[in-house]
Amino acid sequence: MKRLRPSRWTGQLLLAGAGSGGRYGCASRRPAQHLVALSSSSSSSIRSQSSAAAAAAAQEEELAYDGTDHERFPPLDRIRPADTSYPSPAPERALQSAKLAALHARLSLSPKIPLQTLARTLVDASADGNPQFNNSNLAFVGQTLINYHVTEWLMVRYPRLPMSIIFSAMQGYAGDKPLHQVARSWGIEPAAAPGGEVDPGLLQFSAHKPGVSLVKFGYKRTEAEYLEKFKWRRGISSRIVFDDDFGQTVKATPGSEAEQSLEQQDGEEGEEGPVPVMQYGNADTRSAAETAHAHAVRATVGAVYAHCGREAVKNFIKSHILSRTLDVSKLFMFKSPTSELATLCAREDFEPPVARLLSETGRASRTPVYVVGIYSGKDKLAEAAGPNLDHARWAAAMNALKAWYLYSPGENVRVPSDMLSEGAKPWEPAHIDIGEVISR
Amino acid sequence: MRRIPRIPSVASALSSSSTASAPARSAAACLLKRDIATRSPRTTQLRSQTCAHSQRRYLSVSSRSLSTAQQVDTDVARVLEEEAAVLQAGAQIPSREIQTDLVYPRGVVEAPRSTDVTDPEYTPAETAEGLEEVGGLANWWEDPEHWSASKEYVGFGPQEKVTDPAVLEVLTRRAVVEGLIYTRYAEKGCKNPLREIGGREEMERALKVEVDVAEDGTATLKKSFKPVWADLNRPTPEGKPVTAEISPADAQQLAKSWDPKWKTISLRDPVTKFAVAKRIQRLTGHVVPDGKLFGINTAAGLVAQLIKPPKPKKLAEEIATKSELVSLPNVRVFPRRVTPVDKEKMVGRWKIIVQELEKRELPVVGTGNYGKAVEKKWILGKA
Repeated sequence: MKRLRPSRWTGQLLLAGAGSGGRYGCASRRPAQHLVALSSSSSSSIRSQSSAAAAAAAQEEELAYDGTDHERFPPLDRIRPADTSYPSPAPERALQSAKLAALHARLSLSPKIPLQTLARTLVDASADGNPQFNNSNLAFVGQTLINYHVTEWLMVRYPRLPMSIIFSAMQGYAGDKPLHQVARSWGIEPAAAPGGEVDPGLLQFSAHKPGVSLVKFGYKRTEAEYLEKFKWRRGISSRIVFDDDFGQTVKATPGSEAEQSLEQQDGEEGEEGPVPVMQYGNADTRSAAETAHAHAVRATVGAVYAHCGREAVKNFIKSHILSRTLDVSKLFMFKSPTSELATLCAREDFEPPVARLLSETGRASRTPVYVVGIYSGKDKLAEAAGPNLDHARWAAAMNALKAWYLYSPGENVRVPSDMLSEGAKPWEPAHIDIGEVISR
Repeated sequence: MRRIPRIPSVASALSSSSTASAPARSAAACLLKRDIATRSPRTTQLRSQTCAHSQRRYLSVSSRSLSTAQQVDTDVARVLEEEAAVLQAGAQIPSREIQTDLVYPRGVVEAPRSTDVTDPEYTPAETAEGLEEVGGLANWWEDPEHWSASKEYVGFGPQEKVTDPAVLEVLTRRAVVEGLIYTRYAEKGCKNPLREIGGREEMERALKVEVDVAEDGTATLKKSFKPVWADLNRPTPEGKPVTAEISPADAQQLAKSWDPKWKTISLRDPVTKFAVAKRIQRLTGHVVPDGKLFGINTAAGLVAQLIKPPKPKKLAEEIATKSELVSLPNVRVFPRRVTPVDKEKMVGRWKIIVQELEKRELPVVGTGNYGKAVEKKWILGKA
């Protein structure tokens, strides 16, 4: 069986010019209609990922109107009017961006990853709907890789974690919020508004117009509408089957409804009525920004995989995502810890748990402290202190449960993907738990 | 320090402080004016100035003598007394006609006095108000026509420096050869040391001299350098100085034809080095600073000192040519100031700003027909 060579696949990220036609199809499109209105000349030139075609087309055209005096302040970037009419910067401009080069160097990316690809990772689907020019494909590859590595690492590192905690831990490592933080820590800055004239080193997304991008697995439940309306219960098993990698329900095809509603609005505006005032800084725009940042990180991971391969992307994920600290013990929330502990002891053939008061102080005072230990036969499972006997007992039961759930074979556990590297040592079976103590 | 020729001491010895001379000057000025006013029309201005000058000199001395009488020593006092006696006697002061080619205001025409006017309708003005002002000497020396060519500054070197690299190289070779020849004959004495530029022929003669350069940079002149020595000794001809010019193309050809070894000629000998530097100044107009001259030990060093790229006018140009910043991928050098509008364009906000301003029919840049906000002065409490 032939070995796959992902590094040879990357040609499609830097697509050939429209003239060459060919294998990967024609990466060209007409400028977006709503942006053409801004530029004085609506030329129907063709954009492409390769810089050769653009260089051939680069000629002295008159500059796009932008309200400024071009004689006194000649534009710093000589951008063709056609390029400014596109919803995202032309790929060949990536070579001139200092921000992009700085980001490339800051992440210590391999020189195999061209700046054009890095520029493409920063174009969100909400800014440029064309999947040949936005990062949705790369982000999809990236999210599968990130989620796979995080999941396998969590499963091997904490084999007894309940599924709901795994979902939360996944959300804590690979969700939108942590990846947004990763993007911020990389120094990815958002552009104020996407457009062809924007510096390619800035993250381009629209907070008001969600784009169409398929960046997650999962099915749309038929009862999705009622889940929120009637607060229907979703079992863990159904979450694993239907929902996305974080156990969250998949909403309607992203963007489709929102786009339709926006388009309707646009149509109405054209005829009558004032332009609606854009809302800034609300929960929706913040979540849109978080998603865009997270997609940029995922797309970067996808680009690393596309250009450098499996080992490189594994190291990249390890150093940028798995290296983050997440206190898994804080993710737990118990409803009745004592009964759960009793169930656990029964399942494991331990003697039923018994709470014993170990010490106490200030029983008659305003702030008494009780220290309660939980024993199973002669073994002390856990102990905890509390302001009254019940609280101390519950806390001790929680500690006992956490001690069970957070069992770990060690910090540097081997994960299944380690076996993919050549010359790996034979696999020693990892600890696998028999399942959850109580079903949720 | 001014010296008064008749007194064997310095002028400042006469007055203890400089303030004492101020009233004396103004007094002299008054007298000068009176003198001009009462002079007959036929007297020339030049002569009057000469007289006035000498009188002022006498006057200033005498007034000083009054103010600082106690401090003046006996010799000075005696001379002053004699001069005062001469003044009182009204003797004629000997004056000299100055030979000059400057254009003086000659042939002053004075208007007839009001008593001499015969026109019955003429009424003399009582105040100066509304009268036309004619003539005057206030800005006489501002007019370049009143200066002669002899008063123009003539430097040792040409007014405009030679900047072409090839021409500079050729001229440096000439200067080095002539400097070496001068050093060889310096003991015999040179009447006109390294002053004469000469014409085309002289330059060609100097450039034809062949030089053998040893490993240590010692130069040995081959024959055919005696005519050059003769050229250097020739007295400067009258009139406009002769200059030899060579085109950059010719200079390039010439410089290529030479063995590049000539640039290793040693200039360690201070006599040679100084002679060459002086000759360089004469030929090219470049003055090699002493600090740089100290470090220049070969002809190549001299050429490198002279050939300099022109100073860029903008910082961006300098960075583009010299700095390594341009080659760094994470640094961008802009050819002009990055304005706030440019920054807005880079982040994509400018198109929205333009759209919104135009929608409201407001000027995109500048304030248009709108003045400052009237509320501003209310906020600042200015009524």
